[in-house]
Parts: sequence; structure tokens; C-alpha cells
Amino acid sequence: MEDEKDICSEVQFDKVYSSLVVSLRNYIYFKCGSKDRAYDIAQEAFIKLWQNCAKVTSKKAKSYVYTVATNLFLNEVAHEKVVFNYRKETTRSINNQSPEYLLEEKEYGEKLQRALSQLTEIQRTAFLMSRVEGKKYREIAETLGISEKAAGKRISDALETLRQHIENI
Amino acid sequence: MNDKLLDKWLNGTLSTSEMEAMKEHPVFMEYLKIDSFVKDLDLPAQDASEGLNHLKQQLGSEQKTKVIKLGWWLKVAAAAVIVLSVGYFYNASLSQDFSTQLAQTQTLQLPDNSQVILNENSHLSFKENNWDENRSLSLKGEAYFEVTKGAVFDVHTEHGTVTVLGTKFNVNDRKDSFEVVCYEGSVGVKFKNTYLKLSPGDKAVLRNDQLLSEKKYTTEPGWIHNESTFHNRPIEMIMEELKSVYDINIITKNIDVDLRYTGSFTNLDLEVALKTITLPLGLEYAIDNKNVTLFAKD
Repeated sequence: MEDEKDICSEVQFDKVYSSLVVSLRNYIYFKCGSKDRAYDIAQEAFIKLWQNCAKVTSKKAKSYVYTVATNLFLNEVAHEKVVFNYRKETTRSINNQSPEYLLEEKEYGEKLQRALSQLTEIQRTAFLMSRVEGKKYREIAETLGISEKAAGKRISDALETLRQHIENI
Repeated sequence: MNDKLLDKWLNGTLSTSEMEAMKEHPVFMEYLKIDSFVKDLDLPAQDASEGLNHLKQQLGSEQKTKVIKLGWWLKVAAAAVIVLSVGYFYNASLSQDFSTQLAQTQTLQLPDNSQVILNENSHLSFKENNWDENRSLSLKGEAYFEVTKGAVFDVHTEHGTVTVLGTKFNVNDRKDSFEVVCYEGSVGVKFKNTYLKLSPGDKAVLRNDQLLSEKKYTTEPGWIHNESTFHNRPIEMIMEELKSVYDINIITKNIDVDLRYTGSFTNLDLEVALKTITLPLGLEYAIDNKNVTLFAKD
């Protein structure tokens, strides 16, 4: 009966919230590129879940909040340009490198940013869930409600599209 | 490049020796570089407990959970209720229903990522179950569709059925009118024994119980940008649209019922909309709360 616990109980709701909020926020963040808007949309989706707790089982809670959040995102009128920034302290070693090399790396990073913003929102979401969050195909497929094969295709297509974009910029 | 190995790498299950083999491909080296940069993207931190506090403040702390101790027979009864309701919700979840009120539109995503924008005072329903094989939905009112490629996509309405493969089109099925406009791809419209195939820019209209084909020169319906557009339509129809967009009553005085109107009006500002309509037709208007009076100029 574990999965059928009532979401209207505060304990159960808190559990569901804590287990889903970070992924949901990231999912919307990958679509829109703004962490504040992604956070607001994720919160609103959980408010809807709370208000409809009697109608949604724990099992369905995940697909419920993802669907609500996706529709909230789609209903926002203006979709601004998507720009993802790099972390300040990078994990790639840049010590003791020539200025030319550093400049090239910086230019490459900017090209990639632009190429990412040109991906379709569907490709970008699956791709970043895989590469940035390190999620497996199975988990991505389950979240997006598609087959593992389709998830793999979206991700590898996105990678190839990025490569071509970078080459052409 | 070997697609299986690429999948393995993306899925994090590539062995070291397979990795060495992949590095032979120049394209894979480019992939590795993209990957190393993408991993450096900033993923903003998110504190779940802070977010939860935030959420509770928003909801207000009025809801407190009550704990009730149950006798054994109550437990059995509760279990039965849960089992029954799980079954009920499972069934209910297979059918999805969406309705819009007057002066409200809604954007929806279907299971295959096709998009639907539902215009005001409309109703849409479909079965989520087996969607990929059987893309079929029922519509009352008006909606704009952007369909992803795939199996046949059917829209059933009271007047006729619209069938497509992957395209953008608008269906308007109101009380006395049925109109389908194709904006991209191709659309088939069936009414009784007539079947019309529409190309981009074509429109199928029901007139005197006959399905006719006409040309339409826009790339998207006006209402999804909050506009209503008419081409040589009777004043009666314009007033019906005004009533449903703004949720108002309209009273007419001394108006020629044969007047026809061509043009668009905004769905955001009643006053502007009324001006847009009355000026070219030589009419005047008066607004009193939810009642609008239209009358001829002396």
C-alpha cells in the first residue's frame, strides 16, 4: 500500500515534494533557461497538487506535477531567449595554459551556448537531463513519458545537432 | 560510428576498452569536448526544505492533519474504499477532459507533444490510453492544432470529422457554423458524403448544408493572438462573437440586419473592439456595465 498513501496528509505531501522538486525545477529550467521562473512554475505545480490532493494518488503525483508544470510553461506568453551560463570555477584545468588557448576555449564556450539555445526545447530538455543531471535513459524516458529508445534518440540527435551548429557558427 | 556504443556512452555504461575504440572517431572527440563544456554549465542550487517552507507560507498554515485511530473493521472498510477509489481513478485517468469558460483560452500538450490551443467556451476530450496508435479526440467549439508527425490524427465534432497526419490547422464547430482552416501540411474534412482535401491556405466552410472550399490568406488564426477575424460575415455573427469573448449582453436598436463586416477586433479591450466594429459600419454604441447597446447613427 506504500504507493497509495494519501497526498492530503502533510507528511506524505512533504515526502513527495522533497523527492521531486529539484528534478522538476531543473526540467523547467532546461526548457526556459531562467532559474527564477523555473522555481515559480515548480512551486505553482505543487500548489495545484496540494489543492487537488484528493484526486491524485501518490503514484500519479510525479506525472501530475510534470504535466501541470509543462502546461504552465507553455501558457506563459513570452518565451525569452534561452541562455545557460557556465560555473565560475570550472572543472577543466585551465592553469598554465597559453592565452591563445584560453581565448579559444572561451570562444568555444560561447558557440556552445548559442548552439544550445537553438536546439528545440524538447531535444534540449532530454539532452541536459542526461548530460548535466547525469540521468540514465530509463529515468529520462519515464519522466518524459516516452520509450527509452526515443529518449536515446533525442539525446544523440541533440548532440549531433550541437556539433553541426558549432561547426557552422 | 557505432550507435550502440554511443548509446552506451551517453547512458554511462561504456567500458574503458570500448572508450578507447570510440576515441578513434574524430566526431566522437568533438562529442567529448561538447560534453565536457556542457558539464560545466551552472545548475543553480535548490534547497528542498527551503522551498517547502516557502510553499507552506503561500498556502497558509490553516490545513492541519488529523490523526484518527481506526478500529479493525474500519480499517477493512477503509482498505475497501481505497481499492475501489484506486480503480476509479485509474479508469478516470484514461480519459482526459478540458473545458474553457467564456473569455478564457487554454494551451494543452497531448501525450505525443502535439499542441492544442483551446479557444473560449470550448470542450475537448481524449483517451490517453493507447494514444500513439489511436490519436482521436472530440471537440465542441474552437481549437487550433499543431500536430507532430505520426499515426492518423482525428478530430470528431458534431458536424464532421477532420483527419490529418502532421500539420497546423484550426477547427471551429459552433452552434450553426463549421469551419476548418489548414495552415500547414494537409487536412481532410468529411461531412456527410462530401470529402474535401485542404492544402495550406485553404478553408472548408459549411453553408446551407453543403461543404465548400475557400481561400484564406493568414498563417495563424487571429484568436490565438487575442483577435477575432471575419471576412464578409453578417452582423449577427459578429455580435455572437462579441458576446462570448467579453461575456456581455448586446441590445440592438434600428440596425440593418443585412449589414456585413470584414475585419478584426481585439479580445482584450471591449471599448477598442466596439470602436473597431461600429466605426466602419456607421453605428454607435453605449456601454452600461454588462449591457452594450448598438444603434444606427441618425
